[in-house]
Amino acid sequence: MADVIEVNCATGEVVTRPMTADELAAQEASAAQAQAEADAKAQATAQAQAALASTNAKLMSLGLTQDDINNLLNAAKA
Amino acid sequence: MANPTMTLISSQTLGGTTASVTFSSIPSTYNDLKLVVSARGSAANQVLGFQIAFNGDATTNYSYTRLLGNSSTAASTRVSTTALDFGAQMDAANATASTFGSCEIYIPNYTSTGSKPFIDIDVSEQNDVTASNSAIASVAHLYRGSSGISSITLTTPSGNFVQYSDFYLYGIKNS
Repeated sequence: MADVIEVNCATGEVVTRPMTADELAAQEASAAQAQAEADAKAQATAQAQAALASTNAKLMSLGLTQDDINNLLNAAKA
Repeated sequence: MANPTMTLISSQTLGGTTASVTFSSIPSTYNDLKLVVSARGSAANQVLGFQIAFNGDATTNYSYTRLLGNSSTAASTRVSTTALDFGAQMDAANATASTFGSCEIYIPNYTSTGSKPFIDIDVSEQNDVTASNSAIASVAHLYRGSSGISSITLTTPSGNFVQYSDFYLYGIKNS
């Protein structure tokens, strides 16, 4: 089992001890939550990109060129 | 006349793999804290975020916004109201052997009982030919805990900090 180090800044005491079962469980839960957050972020990004691509396609179907669309986007950002 | 000082409060160089490092009983006699880290993770990643937690607080009191550049791509990440502040990063097992990520974390007004914004700058330089494997990140963090900071825990989300990872905690006084 991995070690944890605790440094007491007031006394200078350093304790090195094995990670407890609870700490190990918390670390595993943290890893799972971090992965879930990363997955949710990636999914949101993918959805936003898909929505943008869909909008882009609709505008092109109306006769706008990609340059026209880029000009609109740049004007909106300015 | 003001006489600012920066004092090493404590440091740790790991003698072996370690899952977490805690600085506890941090004196409240300074104005700001600065944590300097040279670390590498054992997990199979190029770069790996490590968790910063204050006062053992595992509630959703943390947020961070990271701006990352790796010479080919710039990316921004925002994580708000989380219990897991993984904003800071280090080299990990897939990086060039024996390279360590460098990270500086600056925590102003750490004894405040209000929200505490802080910053970290971290660099991963991996000494290989793939440009995108080297990266620099600038991260804006926020900790909303209502107590002053008296302990800091750094934890890897998977694997461990490897041997020879260094952690230096400084206190800064403005007079």
